[in-house]
Amino acid sequence: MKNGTGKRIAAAAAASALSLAVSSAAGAQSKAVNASLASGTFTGQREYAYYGYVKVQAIVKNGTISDIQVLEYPNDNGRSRYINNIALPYLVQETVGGRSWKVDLISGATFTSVAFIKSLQAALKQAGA
Amino acid sequence: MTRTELIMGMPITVAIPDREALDREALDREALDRAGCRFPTLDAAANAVFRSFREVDERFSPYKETSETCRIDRGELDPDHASREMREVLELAEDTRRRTDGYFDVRFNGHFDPSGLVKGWAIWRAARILDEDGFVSFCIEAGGDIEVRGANDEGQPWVIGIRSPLDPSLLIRRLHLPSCGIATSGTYIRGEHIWNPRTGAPANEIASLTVIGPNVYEADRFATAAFAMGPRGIEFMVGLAGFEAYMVDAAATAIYTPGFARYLAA
Repeated sequence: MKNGTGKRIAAAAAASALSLAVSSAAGAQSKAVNASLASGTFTGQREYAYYGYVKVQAIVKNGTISDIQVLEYPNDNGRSRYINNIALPYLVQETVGGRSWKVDLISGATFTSVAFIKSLQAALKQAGA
Repeated sequence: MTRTELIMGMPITVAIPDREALDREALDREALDRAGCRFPTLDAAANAVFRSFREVDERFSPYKETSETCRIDRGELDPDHASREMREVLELAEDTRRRTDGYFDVRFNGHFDPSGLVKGWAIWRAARILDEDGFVSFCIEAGGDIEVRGANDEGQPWVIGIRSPLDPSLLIRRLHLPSCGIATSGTYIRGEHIWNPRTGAPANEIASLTVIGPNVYEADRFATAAFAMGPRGIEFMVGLAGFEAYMVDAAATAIYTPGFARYLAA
């Protein structure tokens, strides 16, 4: 069972790093990959994927991934035991900044009392008040 | 029509596109009558939503001495003899505790406090009022958690921003959402308001976790629990069918589940 868990981590980490590596190559920094791929062997950057560092190599033939080599992956630290019921779990990573978009509503953590006032001021500011 | 009131210590907003009022004029009122729809005006519908939140506040507030929550906490009320609403919430809480490996628990440090579950449940409850009245498009937001239905004023998917956990005056992402629920747990301004019930320590390893699910109650309970799990919360969400999540850490790095990409606006 422990080995099985380890494999799941590798699968998740590999897919995560692969997605990063290929999307970087395609110039689409934060998008999951599903566009047509160029043939060749691609080595992803060493990426921190929350459960440790991963580094993978993908071999692409005729627009599809024919093989994935995991060059580096974290040891089983017990964190991935929830990953199940899906064929190939992976996560996508991006760096976030801050913008003042016009939106219908905002999702964020709860504010109360003084914090609520601050939040309201921020919201009004965003609304152009 | 958009209206906001302060109830349960948080801003609660109801947004219903004005065309919902016009569309309703064209409806067969006799058929609606037979179906039990009361076809209220937009304002009357909003009033019913706010009334529902006030009822929930009276019953569940941990700050009102006469609430059922406080009476259960003081041992004056046997949960088995509580109201139907309280028993429903307690059943949902027990289900959540089991499904989150104990990370979500309404009993903590010897106290009873179902607040973590009640907000999402209250929004969901209010949305059902509008559903039953035949509204197809609306948003109900309470303290940053939202039940989304139909389309916005322009007939387009509702545009929902994710607030930056690092600067609450800014947004970090803009989403186009279909009918669903969205909830965010975070540490923002208020500080470490979510605790890991297993260790008693603040769950402060990540800045915010946004969850999109089938409804806001489902999104809220899993956002709360997954946030308490710290960095591995996002992995918990990957394994949860029907949910997508977006996690931001203190270093402004976001990690999201693959299905979340379909909601991201450019």
